[in-house]
Amino acid sequence: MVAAPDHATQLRRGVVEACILGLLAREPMYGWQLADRLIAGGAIIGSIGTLYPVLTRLRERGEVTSYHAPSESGPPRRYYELTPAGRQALQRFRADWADFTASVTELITEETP
Amino acid sequence: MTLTPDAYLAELERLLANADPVTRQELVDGIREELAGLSPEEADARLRELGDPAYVAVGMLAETRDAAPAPARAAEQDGDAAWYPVVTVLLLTVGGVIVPVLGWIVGLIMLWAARGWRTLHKVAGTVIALLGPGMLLAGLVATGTTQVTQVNPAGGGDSPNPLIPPMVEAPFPTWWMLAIVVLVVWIAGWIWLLVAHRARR
Repeated sequence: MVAAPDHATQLRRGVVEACILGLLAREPMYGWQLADRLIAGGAIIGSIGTLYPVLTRLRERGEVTSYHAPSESGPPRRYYELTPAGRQALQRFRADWADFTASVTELITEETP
Repeated sequence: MTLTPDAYLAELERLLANADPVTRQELVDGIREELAGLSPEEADARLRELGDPAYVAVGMLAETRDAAPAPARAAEQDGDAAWYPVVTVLLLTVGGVIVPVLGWIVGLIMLWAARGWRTLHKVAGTVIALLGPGMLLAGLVATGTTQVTQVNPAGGGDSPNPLIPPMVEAPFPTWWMLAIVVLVVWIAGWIWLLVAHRARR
């Protein structure tokens, strides 16, 4: 017997990259800050451990870069920021997401009698 | 939380010893940066937020594994079990003798279903497998021919001259030399197939 898929987990997995791009489009952020926002904002990730492999992927694709800078609270931190390619990827995702959610909503909406 | 920040990070690094080193270092540095300059109580509270090191490590390992590129995943599943080529070769060699015909058929199916052999190997394996029954058949025919030639010696009804030892008919040594060559090729073929499979695993 095949276990029913945990669609919440599957959905989060599909959008975590876009959510990171979306957060970084507002301002550069450091890892802890990103993890906090992603966990608090709808549990997009389960733990900070999930964040870093995604950041590695985004950097390898040239959508995110990082730099060291002093933080407000003192010690220097590694900040992540969007590249132009990252902004383009986010734009594409926004368009796809709008179409996708519209289609899925239509497909799963209960029939009105 | 009883772990000090140093112990926590050491445990995390230990759990992620086999993970991608760049990503692991970035994660550990990210947590260390957050804890830097905090009082022990504050650091402890931060670590409580993170959860157990194992929880963080599993998060990273699961994310890395799920996003692994398809070729890497395919490579993991590429090999047949270690026994697979051996059983296939045994079926194709002696399997058809132990369970007539069926043994060879199952062996051929296993040969063609194997992931560890290329098409070239599968074609060669089929040809080599056919050599086995071929040899048996040829051996029977050869024995038959030899018997016939011994029963019907040339001489038009006269009994053979007892002073002349019965001629070893020409087909006899030729058949045997051919059989030995085929046998050597046959055995070498199976060894080649087994080695080729191991090299692919």
